[in-house]
Amino acid sequence: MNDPAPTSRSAFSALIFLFVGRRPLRTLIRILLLIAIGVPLFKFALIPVVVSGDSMMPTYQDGQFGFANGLIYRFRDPLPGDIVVIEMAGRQTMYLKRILAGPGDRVFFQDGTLMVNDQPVMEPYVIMSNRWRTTEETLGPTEFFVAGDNRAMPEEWHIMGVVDRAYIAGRVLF
Amino acid sequence: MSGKHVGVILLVIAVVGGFWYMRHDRDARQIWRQFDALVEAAEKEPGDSQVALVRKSRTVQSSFTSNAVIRLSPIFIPEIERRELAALVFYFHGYIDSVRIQVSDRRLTIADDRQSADMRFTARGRLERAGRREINTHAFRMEWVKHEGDWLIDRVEVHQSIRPPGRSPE
Repeated sequence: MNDPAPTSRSAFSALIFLFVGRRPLRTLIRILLLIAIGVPLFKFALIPVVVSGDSMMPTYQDGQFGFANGLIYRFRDPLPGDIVVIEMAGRQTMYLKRILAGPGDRVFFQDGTLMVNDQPVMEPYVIMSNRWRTTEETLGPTEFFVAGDNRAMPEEWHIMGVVDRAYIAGRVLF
Repeated sequence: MSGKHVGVILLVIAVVGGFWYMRHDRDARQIWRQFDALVEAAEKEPGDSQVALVRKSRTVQSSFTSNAVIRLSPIFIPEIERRELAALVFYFHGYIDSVRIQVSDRRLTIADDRQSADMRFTARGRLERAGRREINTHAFRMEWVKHEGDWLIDRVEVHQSIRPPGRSPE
């Protein structure tokens, strides 16, 4: 009769070898090093983004994957046209919006046309537009006006408006 | 594997375990347990019986203090009183076919006196009604207070990082 124990033992040893390697301490150091590099990299520098919803269509589709640069706004101010991720309660779930106007600007929608400082703004990324009408907002020194690219949505269904710079987590790379 | 290596691994496990335990003390564990029960009670499965829905609506209501401030605007009505809560949850569950809630970015800060706590989180609700699917995502701020040994919600409101503009009349 065969004794199953040696087989089990060798399978266990193979599993240990697979995960721990020949030098466990070195493996442990490698894992810790990987965590030490990976966690800050993907938490602060390259924020993974999965698009949910259609408020940024046609620029971004539901389910699309990309990365946001979480460090860029430490070196420069956000600019109109930038597509940014905006924190809600944290960085796991965020808004994806386009900056339409910056500090000091007066901004509103008039029959679907974006007006910044009383001048109509051309928005080539907008394919279809509903007749959005909003009241004028004068942006404070740290405030930005954001909206999605999908203007075919009724305005009451679309999350847009004024956001403080502190909530802007990064700029979408692709 | 030598004894030295085993010792190093055990030390790492002990340090990580210690940190985890410090971050999840008894009060925090109690709050998170109640919060998870609240989320589960707010959800609805298609097969939930009327009895189950009544129990869920009562669970939601009993999670709040008698003077709780409940501001879920812009999702719902501006301010809800605790006594209305069970009926509202029961009505909401009857109106929809199902709702699944996914919570992310949850963060809890317990005050030094251990009598109150501040919670932030983002909730993503996936609703189904008459074959139509809708997803709503909102960030919330929740204040908990310790009342006779139990943690209860004293205030909950939607936190909007994007302030919507006013609507211009036609």
